[in-house]
Amino acid sequence: MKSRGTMLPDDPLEALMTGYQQGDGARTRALIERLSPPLYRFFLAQVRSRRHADDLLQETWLRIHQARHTYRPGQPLLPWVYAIARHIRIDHYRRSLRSEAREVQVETLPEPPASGRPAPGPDVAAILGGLPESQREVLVMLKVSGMTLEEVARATSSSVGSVKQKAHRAYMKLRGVLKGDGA
Amino acid sequence: MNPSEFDRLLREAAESQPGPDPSLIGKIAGEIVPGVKPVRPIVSSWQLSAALVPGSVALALLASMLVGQPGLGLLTAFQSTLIFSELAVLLWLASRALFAEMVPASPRLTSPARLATWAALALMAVFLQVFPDRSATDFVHRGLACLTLGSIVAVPGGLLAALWLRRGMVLNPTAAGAAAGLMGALVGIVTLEIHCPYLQAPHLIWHVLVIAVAVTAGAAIGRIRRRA
Repeated sequence: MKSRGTMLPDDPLEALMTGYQQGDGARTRALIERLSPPLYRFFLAQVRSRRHADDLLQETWLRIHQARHTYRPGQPLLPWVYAIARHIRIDHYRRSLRSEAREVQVETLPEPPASGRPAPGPDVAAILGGLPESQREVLVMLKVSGMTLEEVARATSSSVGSVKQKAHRAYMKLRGVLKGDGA
Repeated sequence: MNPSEFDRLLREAAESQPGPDPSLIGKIAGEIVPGVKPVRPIVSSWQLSAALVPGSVALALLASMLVGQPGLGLLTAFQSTLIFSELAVLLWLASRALFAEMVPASPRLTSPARLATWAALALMAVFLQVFPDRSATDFVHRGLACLTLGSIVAVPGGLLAALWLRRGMVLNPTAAGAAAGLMGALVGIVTLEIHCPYLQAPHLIWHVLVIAVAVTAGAAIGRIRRRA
């Protein structure tokens, strides 16, 4: 395990990822610490369960570790990471649909929203809950993860125009919902 | 509420979201960091094409040597130049589509299924242009023979592409299977153009049908793998 240089927390994500590819333990750790919170929020905004978000985050890092050689140095990192993350979430969603279809629901136990640490502000998942899956995903990437339109387009294998359209439709729908709530 | 107010609301909501438990981050780092080893970044799409396209052409030549090459002698220079140039371009585009399926978030021109449709239409357009004979002698019997041969040759072509796929990270196995199937189909069609002595335009529909067979088979295999 090697470590080069200092100021790891300030290094660009791409430099940390290159360090990860080179087997640099300190940069790998810094990358995990930098990327995990936004990835976690990305999942939490969509699955609304801390337990599932925990599982998805761990699964994403396992995949990132397996796929780390497929990151091309010099390319933006976030689309690469979020492309993996969104497929993990889609697979999780499909698996849960399949298991729901097989299982007989006897009782539905609501998941505690945030065990021990209640969210102080408005809940993203609740705000975006009424949106279709694809629009919610785009809005979470743009507004929660802070990605650019181009980065979201690459992460979702679509065009910038399509991302803009989905975001616009999501805004329109949210406006209607919030008006209905008296916002 | 205007868009900037929406943005502010969502930003505030995002900032108020709970983060992951620090022990979870510690656990993830503890599992990954101690064993992290250097890896070599994957080749570029150009390098992949530079390896895969000649490899596929070599496979098609080998297959045509096994089944015979009577068709090649019947083509005029104009016909062979146009057809094989088009097939080379399609092989290159298919290799780019394959790369897009093995590297997350890599730029893609279009989906493999859409590319396969455009490839089939482009091939048919060229065939109709360069082969004026519109008769259809023994249409089904000859056609099925070519479809079978093309589909059989598509198998090693698709497997060669699938070997490359294993070097990447496939996120959408159905699309990746379709891209590998398209590579295989084009290998099959190159073999057919070298082998097939029937130069009637309607017969060549059967050659193009290899794309539908191989892409469907590749996508189905990918779908099965996804569900497994």
